Amino acid sequence: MRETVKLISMEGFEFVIDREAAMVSQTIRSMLTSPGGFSESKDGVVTFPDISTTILEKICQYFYWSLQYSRGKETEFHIEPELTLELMMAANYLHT
Amino acid sequence: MSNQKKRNFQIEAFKQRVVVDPKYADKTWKILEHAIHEIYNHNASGLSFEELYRNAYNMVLHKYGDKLYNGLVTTMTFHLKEICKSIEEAHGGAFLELINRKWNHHNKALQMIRDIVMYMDRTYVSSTKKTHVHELGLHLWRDNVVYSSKIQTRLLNTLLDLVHKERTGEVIDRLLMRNVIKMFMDLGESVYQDDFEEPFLEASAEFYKVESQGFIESCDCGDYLKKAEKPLVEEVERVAHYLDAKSEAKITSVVEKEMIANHVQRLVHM
Repeated sequence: MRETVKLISMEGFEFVIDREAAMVSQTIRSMLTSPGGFSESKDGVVTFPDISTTILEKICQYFYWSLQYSRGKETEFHIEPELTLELMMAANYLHT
Repeated sequence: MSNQKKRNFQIEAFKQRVVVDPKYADKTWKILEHAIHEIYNHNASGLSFEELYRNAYNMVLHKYGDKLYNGLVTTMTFHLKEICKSIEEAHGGAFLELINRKWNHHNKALQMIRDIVMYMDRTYVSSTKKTHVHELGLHLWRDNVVYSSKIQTRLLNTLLDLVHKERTGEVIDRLLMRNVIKMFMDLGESVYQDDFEEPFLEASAEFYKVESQGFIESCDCGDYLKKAEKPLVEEVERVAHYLDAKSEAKITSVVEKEMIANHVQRLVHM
């Protein structure tokens, strides 16, 4: 089983993160684990043509924050107000 | 669409683009329809999950949830009818084998489809109180395959026939039995009970009625009771191997009734 996965933004920026972190998103979890060999589960690479680099970076930070939070480290997750709308859209899409 | 200019209003821009294109819903649905065909044709390895999920997601966001849902029903029904035809054409032992194989494949396809349309499942389906995709897939299988006029009776008879063979000493494929009977259970308790368990209990009563008649004419009381004990053990074993655990009490009482209760007067006065 692959340890890391690659998430690619609208502009082509690549984020290599732990598989465990990416699976915080139910959508990405399905992408990586659905049976039948979709390309994402074979390659461990997911491209998001609708998510900008800024947002995807924030999302990756959120994944790690969420993992820590679930392990009892209760810190605040800061969101810049100007990102809120796009971030919420992405969260809806990612089921996070 | 220029990204730099509309960057902060990306979502608005996206919506507009879609509304402008009147063929949007049809085009998007075509992509998803094609994917469902590929999934049923064992051809999904080239597909991008993200692309399909995004298309299904956008269809729901743009209020085409009903089109997506209905399209899904139509396309899956189409494939199940094809599957049904191929099962109908199967001969002899291949029949049960094929049902089991197609059922497994349908389940896998169903899971893939459900994953792709997950967003519709958790928003549109919930808010319109329609049947969730997984359950929908089971219902479609039940109505198009299991309840197909050319399959329903044949399937039941095949299963009962195998049970009969086993009772009369033949060795049957228990794993296949378990898988097919598990299918009835997966389709819901009422399907298992009405379409398998009840006829099974009736056939069992009939079998043991004849069996007990034969024994009682030829044995004394002690021997008869020994003979009556054997089917009890066998039926409990059968339940453990390939029936629902809840059937144990029912089949045991059928055996007790046919083998003992119906002959109690005669046994006592033997």
